[in-house]
Amino acid sequence: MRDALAALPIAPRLLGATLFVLAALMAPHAANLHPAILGFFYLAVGWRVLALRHPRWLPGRWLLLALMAAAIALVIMSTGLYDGRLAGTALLVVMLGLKLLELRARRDIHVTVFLGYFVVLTQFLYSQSLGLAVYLFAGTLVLTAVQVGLNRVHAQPRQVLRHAVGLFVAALPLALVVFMLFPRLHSPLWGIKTQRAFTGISGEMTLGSLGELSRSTATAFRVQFDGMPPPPEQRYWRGPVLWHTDGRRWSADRASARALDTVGRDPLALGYEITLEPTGEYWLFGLDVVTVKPPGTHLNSSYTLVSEQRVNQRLTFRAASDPGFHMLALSERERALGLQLPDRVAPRVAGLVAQWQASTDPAQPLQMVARALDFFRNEPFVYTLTPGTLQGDPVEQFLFETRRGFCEHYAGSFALLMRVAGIPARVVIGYQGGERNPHADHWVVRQSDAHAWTEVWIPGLGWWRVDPTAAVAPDRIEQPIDTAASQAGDRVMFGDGDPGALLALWQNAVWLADAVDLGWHRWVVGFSAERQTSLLQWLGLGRLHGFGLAIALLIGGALAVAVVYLSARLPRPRSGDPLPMLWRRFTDKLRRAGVDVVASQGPDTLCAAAMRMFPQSADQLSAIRRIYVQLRYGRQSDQEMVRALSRRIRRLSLRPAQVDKG
Amino acid sequence: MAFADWARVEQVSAAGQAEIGARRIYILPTRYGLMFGVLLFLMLLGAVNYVNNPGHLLTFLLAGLAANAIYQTWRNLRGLRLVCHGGPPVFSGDPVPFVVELDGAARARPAIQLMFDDSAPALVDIDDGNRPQRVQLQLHGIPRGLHQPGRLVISTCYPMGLLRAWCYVACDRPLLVYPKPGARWTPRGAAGDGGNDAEWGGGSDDFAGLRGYRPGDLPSQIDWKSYARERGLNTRVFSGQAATPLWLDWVDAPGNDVELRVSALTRAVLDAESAGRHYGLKTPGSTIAPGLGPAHRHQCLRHLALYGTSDA
Repeated sequence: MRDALAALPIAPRLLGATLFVLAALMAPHAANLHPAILGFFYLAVGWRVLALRHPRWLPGRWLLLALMAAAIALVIMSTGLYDGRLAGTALLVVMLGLKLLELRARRDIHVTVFLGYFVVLTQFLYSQSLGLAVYLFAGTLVLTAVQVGLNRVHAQPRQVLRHAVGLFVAALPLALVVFMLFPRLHSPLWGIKTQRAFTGISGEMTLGSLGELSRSTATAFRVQFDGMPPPPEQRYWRGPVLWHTDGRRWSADRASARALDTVGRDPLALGYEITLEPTGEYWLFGLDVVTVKPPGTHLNSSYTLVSEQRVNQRLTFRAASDPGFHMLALSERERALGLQLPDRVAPRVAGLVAQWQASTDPAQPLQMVARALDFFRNEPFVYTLTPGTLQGDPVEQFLFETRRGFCEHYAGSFALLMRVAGIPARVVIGYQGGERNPHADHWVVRQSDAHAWTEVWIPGLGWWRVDPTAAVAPDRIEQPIDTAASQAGDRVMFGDGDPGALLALWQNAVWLADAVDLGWHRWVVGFSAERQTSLLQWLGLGRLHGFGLAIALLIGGALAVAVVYLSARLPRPRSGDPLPMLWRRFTDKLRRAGVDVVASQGPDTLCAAAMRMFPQSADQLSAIRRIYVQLRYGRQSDQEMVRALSRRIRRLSLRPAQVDKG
Repeated sequence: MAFADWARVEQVSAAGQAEIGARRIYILPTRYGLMFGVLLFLMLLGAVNYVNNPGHLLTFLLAGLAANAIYQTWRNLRGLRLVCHGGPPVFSGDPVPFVVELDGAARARPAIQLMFDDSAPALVDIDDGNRPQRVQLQLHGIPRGLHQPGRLVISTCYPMGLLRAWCYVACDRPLLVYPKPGARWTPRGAAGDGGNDAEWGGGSDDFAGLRGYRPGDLPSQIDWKSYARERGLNTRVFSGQAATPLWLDWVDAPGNDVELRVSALTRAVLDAESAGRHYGLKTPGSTIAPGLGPAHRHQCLRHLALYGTSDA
């Protein structure tokens, strides 16, 4: 069938809008693609923009072929074809640029619009942040408006944009239903290689490493508790457990990666949901000892929650913890590891421990713990982010000379002291604390909450948590660190002060953004197979899977479509002829001013009567009469004139005739 | 088109009006629609593979747009009112105008395409004002005679261009196409003086024939019988009134085949009319009495147009 639309010339405005929206949608790729790829694309856009005025400047077929060869070479050289995602995106981008250079017919714009939709998808492969998503969906809307404009004879920008918004709103219910019910895979169809650097705690601890991390206010994870949140002194988020030490450096035990068989279901455990920012590591964080673990994870023998896959993307999982859980087991190997000492222990350190041993009962290890904590509490130790570098034997120097340290200094030296005293000890790193978002029911744990503490093995109690930092700086456990206030070399400041009004407003906005961001992650980005299952259970469709899910998808989709079409059929205020309404407004105004308005009066009679009463306003009245008569009885109806009439009626002021005095 | 043979067709009323009914509309994806389907599939594959939920959402949103477009495109046609006005007679070889009046029924209907099999497509955006919009289609390559314009195809791809909705309307408004005028020639008797001074002076004795009504003719001379037969208003002319009528005779016409003669006589009718000569037309089997004026001209041209056709 012949298509008259295809033969119509394209309005330059439409072409310009296409180029603009594609250029805007491409911009976020600046963070992902090689500058040469993006440069190629924007050069093509610029070329095409110039060709809007000079169509002869468009490249011919041979030049296009040469450009295509150059573009493919550029893709191969810049990406090396190592990463399929990156190479594919780069290829799409350069091909879209080339397509722009041969943009002549309406068909070509259709194709570029389609490619534009695909570009949006590639953006999501690199970042799924809420801000970017809002930007991209807005761009998609404009792209759809361009597509709508392509299918009209005359395309008014406002008109097609409004229509595109209407189409989006109508498409949303179906999109959401399918989004909720479409089956999700646990793992990708084929391998994905990504390389990325993450901030967060690493699998080992050197003196100073956590202090550096504590300057970052970036979010580590967010938590939503099922019930009452635990008190601050119980908010220890357990990460890797470190056994080996050389005095300066602590590292995990490879062999302890083996899984624990049972922790089991625990009805008393506190349930919570964690949305973990990508770490690039295997371990997850839980509220100290996780007793109900999420699927796809295991607990290693040090009670660290370990995922089967690296956390390369934001991950949401549910877990439960029991604050009263005792880690009673101690294997022979663990005892040996827990007592392992560096090659050399400084005599002053050994002497200190010997001095304590003389005054405590060896059968009561807790007495030894108390002595050590007293030592930290009573000697002039300072809790600081900038402890300075330690020379020689770091533990000796810290304990007896500098006495300035961050949590890892206290945890590391305390564990060492315990081991010297013959008490098995280990260091746990993770996070401590968290801040509640006032706008939502969740807590935010930041990188600045990174913490290290120790566990000592006490017969009968098992592995027992001791936080020597709490002895030095009890506020650390109660309050988050105020990173901005903690200047280099100073004591660490804790954020319990009263912020100024402007600062409070800013913080409020930040918390609100955090709440929206978590909502976006919980319901869109992190919508996993597990969450889908729980949503279905909540809907009473918990048994659905496979074929049943497909049926539910069909029924749900049909319902969503029905909702849209039934609502489209609802009676709506008609946007018909605006003239009677305007005229009524005019006569109302006259009536209020005292003019005797009779329904049967024509505009001429009425205006003549009004002019007699208000000669001052005669010009305004006659202009209104003229426009109205033209619109009402004339041949053409003109939006501009209707607006002019509306404006004049609004501005009409009826002043009574001035009476001469004297 | 084979499909159109059994397709449902909207019939126009006696006044040429029709409203497109919901069940007369066909809809199928365009090639852009198929392309969009492939695009959605690839996007879904990408989103699933990279376990990318915003990608899922984007794909489903676009799928929702496409699903909604089915309804939108269909609705763009449903309830559209049209009046087939047809067009005035034209000469064969000229484009034949066919006027259709479209009324959006209080709904904006962008990009409505109208087309006959024999015409170029015409495209129009109908706004939501209540003013009907006239569209003139031009049919090409139509021979002389009385023709039905065929099926009017009304179609639209709005809003997304992914689907085409169309329907067939049988516009029962025959088009009259006069024969194409041939080369100029001089009929027998045309060389003489064409003046007839006694046109109005003659008595009313012998009936000589009919000519087209002109203002001022006596009502008693009007041939009401032919008016009743819908041949237009004609005045009876009596001998002595029309001095020497020019007879355009089939046998005099140059050319030895029917079409050439029809064309030649058409030319002669036009020449005589423009010269103001009374003329009559003789074709095998029928004679049109001499006369003058638009109605007479139409009668002669129509006779020639239909000569030898089944409508004659």
